Amino acid sequence: MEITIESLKNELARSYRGDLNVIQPDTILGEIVDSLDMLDFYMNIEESNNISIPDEDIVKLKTLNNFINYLEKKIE
Amino acid sequence: MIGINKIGVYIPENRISNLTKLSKFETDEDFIINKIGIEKVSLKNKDEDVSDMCVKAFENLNSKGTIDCNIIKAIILVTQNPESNIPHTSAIIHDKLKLPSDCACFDISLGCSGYVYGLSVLKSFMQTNNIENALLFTCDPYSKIMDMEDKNTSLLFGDAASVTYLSNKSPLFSIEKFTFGTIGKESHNLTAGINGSKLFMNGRGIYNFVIRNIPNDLKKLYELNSIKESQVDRFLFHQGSKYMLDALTKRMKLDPAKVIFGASKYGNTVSSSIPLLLNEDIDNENGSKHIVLSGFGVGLSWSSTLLIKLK
Repeated sequence: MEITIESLKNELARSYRGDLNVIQPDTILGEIVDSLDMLDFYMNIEESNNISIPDEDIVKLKTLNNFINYLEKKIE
Repeated sequence: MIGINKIGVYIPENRISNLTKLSKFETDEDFIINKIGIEKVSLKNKDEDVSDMCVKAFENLNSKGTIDCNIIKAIILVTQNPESNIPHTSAIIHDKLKLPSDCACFDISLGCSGYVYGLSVLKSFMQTNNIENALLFTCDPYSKIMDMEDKNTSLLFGDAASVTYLSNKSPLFSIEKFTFGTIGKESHNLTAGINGSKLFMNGRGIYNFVIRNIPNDLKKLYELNSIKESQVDRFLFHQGSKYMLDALTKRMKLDPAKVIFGASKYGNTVSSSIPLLLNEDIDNENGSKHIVLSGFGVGLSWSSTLLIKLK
């Protein structure tokens, strides 16, 4: 499955109940989404893509674009 | 049949409100109340230690029907913050309660899964040794090891103690079969005392561990006990946080009315979290016949069991 901004937002919507329209590709997610919803987001991405993202990588993934770039390399 | 007869609890009166820490931890009321779910954490008195708290829990138990201490032939204390390494704290409790000399006492070093493990160990010990009356204590005051400046832990953990009276004389609940598990390679996610360090918790590691292991564990529990999930009246999960329980409820598609989060006014009390809830269930006589207990945390480890109300 192709990783897109839209697919990532769908994953985020599984826990985040706020307005997804305010989240742009380079929005710092941590400024909009609380830390607990971010935990669920990370887990959903790992499960959807059958990968594991170590903590030391997670801390660098701050925007949806960061996730796309990371996941594309990881899944290759 | 050995089962749970009654429970006594002690929650210190002191409370710290998490709502006074909003600016310190750069958070808001909605996150505290609706996400973490813990408005206040309980804090033991400075001059209280584990044995004192356990004695107070016993006094609460005794107030529900006097227990003749001479008939108690085994006590287990679940704690990872004992008063001393030597002697074991259950021996100190033995002294304070003036228990008989033919009473076995030992401590179990487990955290949030400890109450359920403790039930299994004590029930087995009683069966093997023909013991009719025993007490299972839990008391793990994390205020002894917490860094109050740490947002990850100080908003969660509170102090409390419990004592569960197990007996083969008219128990209220039978204790059915258990599941157990450990993932030692994840133990680094919840530590304390390594080179004198304070409590450390990796929230992501704990969350992933719980969400990925407990649902399958409960499926195994149902099979072991020949029960369907629909027959469970109440789920008493370890009270890690409201978010954790909401996530488990959603993932397992449980009826939210059956999943209790009761820790909002005192916090995550580690191995005491399940018995504090079970105590309320016993006292309220709300008619729960099949109750699932599931503890998970330090180790990382888990244990689950089924209780069936007998009367």
